[in-house]
Amino acid sequence: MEVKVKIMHTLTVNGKDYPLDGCGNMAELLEKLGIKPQKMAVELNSVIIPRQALATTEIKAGDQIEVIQFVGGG
Amino acid sequence: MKKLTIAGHTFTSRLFIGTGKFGSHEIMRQAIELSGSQLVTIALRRVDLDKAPESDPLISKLDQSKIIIVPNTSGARTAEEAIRIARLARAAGGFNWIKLELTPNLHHLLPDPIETLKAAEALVKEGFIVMPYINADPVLAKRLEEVGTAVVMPLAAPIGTNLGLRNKDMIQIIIENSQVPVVVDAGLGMPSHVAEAIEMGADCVLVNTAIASAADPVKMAGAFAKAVIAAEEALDAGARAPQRTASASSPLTGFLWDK
Repeated sequence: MEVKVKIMHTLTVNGKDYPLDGCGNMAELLEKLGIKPQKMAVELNSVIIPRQALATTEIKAGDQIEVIQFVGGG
Repeated sequence: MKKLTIAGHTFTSRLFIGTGKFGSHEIMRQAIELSGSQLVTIALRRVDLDKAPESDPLISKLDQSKIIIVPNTSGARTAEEAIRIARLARAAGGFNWIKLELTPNLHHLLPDPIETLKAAEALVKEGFIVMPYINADPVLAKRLEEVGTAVVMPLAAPIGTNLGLRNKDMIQIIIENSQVPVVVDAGLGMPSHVAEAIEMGADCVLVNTAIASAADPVKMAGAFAKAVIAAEEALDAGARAPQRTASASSPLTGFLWDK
């Protein structure tokens, strides 16, 4: 029997895996991804993170993150 | 016509505009400006991490000193998903207005009445100004009004179809019974459609596809704005009800062959 073990050094951002890459908090991760948090919303494991709390919100491997912006719509 | 007030805001334009499908943010801005519209809808989506960030995001093109921005919950299939989007919109932009759009079926995009009512009730309790997009169901419209929605938004025809007022008789019943403003939304394809909606007593209309996908969206926005104003002025002027029998416009006396 083959057993696959996935070692979690990644987190998921908008449905895709990204390396944690030494980021300790949400603000660092967004900066690394090239995202300016103005007029965006960020969810960590389905909980909304207020903009002022991004730098104090710790992240870890396996986290599910959503970064949302406004687009045209009817 | 009585001034249009929604949640304490008074609007001088009865034309609301959706911001989807425009060729560029600049064309959208010009169309909104020319139309005089004071309420526009926007949507929320994931940031595409594979693309360079936008240099001029959509929001920066909308003058919030003149325009109320209403995020929609498009893409939501359940009340839970719609509530999640509303909260994200509030967190991202501080927006308190929300257009509930719950469309589980991507083929016809008709709204789910049960999930819409559930979401409306929850979001009103959270302090949102709720604008529910609904099928033209007078009973549902009343139920939404009762849970505290700011308006009701019956659809004229399915989204993006340009078919015009296909639900006219049911919308008429909603207008006659509603204590909150009625916004006729979706499927309005030509200026004559919005004029007809205002003439039959709708408080306002929301148009997106017909303007945004026109060959000249700015010109089309102007055409829709004029139609809304024409209908408003006709009501103010005191339009007479239709009748089945003829009524001569020219005198029926003094004919040449009178004896």
